[in-house]
Amino acid sequence: MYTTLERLGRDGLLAHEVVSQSERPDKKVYVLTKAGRKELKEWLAAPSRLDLDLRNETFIKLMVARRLPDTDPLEIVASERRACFERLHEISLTRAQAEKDGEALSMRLLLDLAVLRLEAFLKWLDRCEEVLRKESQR
Amino acid sequence: MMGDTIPAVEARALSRVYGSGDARVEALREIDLRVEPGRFVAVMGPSGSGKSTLLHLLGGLDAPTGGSILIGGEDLSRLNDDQLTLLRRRRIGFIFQAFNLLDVLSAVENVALPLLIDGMSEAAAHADALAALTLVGMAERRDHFPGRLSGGEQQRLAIARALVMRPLLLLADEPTGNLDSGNSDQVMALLRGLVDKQGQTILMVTHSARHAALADRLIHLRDGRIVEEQDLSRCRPASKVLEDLEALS
Repeated sequence: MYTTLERLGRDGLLAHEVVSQSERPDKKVYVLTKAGRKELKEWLAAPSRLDLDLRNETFIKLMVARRLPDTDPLEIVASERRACFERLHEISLTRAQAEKDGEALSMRLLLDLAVLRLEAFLKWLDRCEEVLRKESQR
Repeated sequence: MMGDTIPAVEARALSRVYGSGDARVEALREIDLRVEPGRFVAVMGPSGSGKSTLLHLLGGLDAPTGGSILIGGEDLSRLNDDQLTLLRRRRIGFIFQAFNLLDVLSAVENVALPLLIDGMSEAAAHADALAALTLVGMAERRDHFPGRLSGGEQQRLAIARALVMRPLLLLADEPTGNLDSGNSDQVMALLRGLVDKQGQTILMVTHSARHAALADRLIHLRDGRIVEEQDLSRCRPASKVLEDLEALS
């Protein structure tokens, strides 16, 4: 964290003042500069880079397996699905636990993101299976 | 010894054929399945894979054309109609996508109904119904009519009714199919809790991967056959996952 604060300071986005404390070492209080506040607002307003994960490893495995005579891509779909369900089991139970324990909103939303991504990936695996099955029947 | 436990439900070479000749459909083909007491099993598969047929056969709602079904070690094919009716009423609880509640009866009356049909006195049935409502967190709604309850509450009421006879096996056919995601998650948390706290055995058919993933064991059907079985009970506990996430933030 301190290297980040230093860098922001160098860039003129962050200022600090040293506050002396009795019986404790001096502390630095950081505050955004005018340029820093502008930069923050711009970052918040700009759409985030969407990570579509198009170099997805499972996808590459399936496409490679399709071209090998002795490898069945459907077996890869099955093993990826098993791994995905294990992860989804953990995350879904954790999500349910988080709801029960009244965990922080940030934790609940982060778990929701993980659950929905895993669900989407499982749907995509179903789609892969359907298409690859048709191809192998031809 | 675990190996000696009588399974809550067992299917041996279970088959179901509909129609004949050109219209012949093999809905289930020689399914073998054992569910130990206290386990939560989810059945998934594309439409027409035989999921619902399996559930209906295991619950004695439909008769197999081959193989056998044992509920708590009792072979369904050896029971006459009256015995089968009794077994269905006392040992098996059903919940469906549609809640199938009676609108003219209050919550507690809906839940008490199976007990009254079984010949229990009204006072005793009322007490047991209230206990079942408490179990699903619906005790304060005891006097409400189903029409005044949310979808999630109606399904919890249906679960209380399914549990009131303390069935060996709870069969759930798309229990969250009619619910929005918030209510679905609540109903699923309830089912998971019944397994963890009451040792309830549940077999659930679902389209939702997220809900299936809450079970201990997953079964995938395709074309009437089990094509994949997965044990999820050895995954990391929720507390461990939370710790890891907290370390991240």
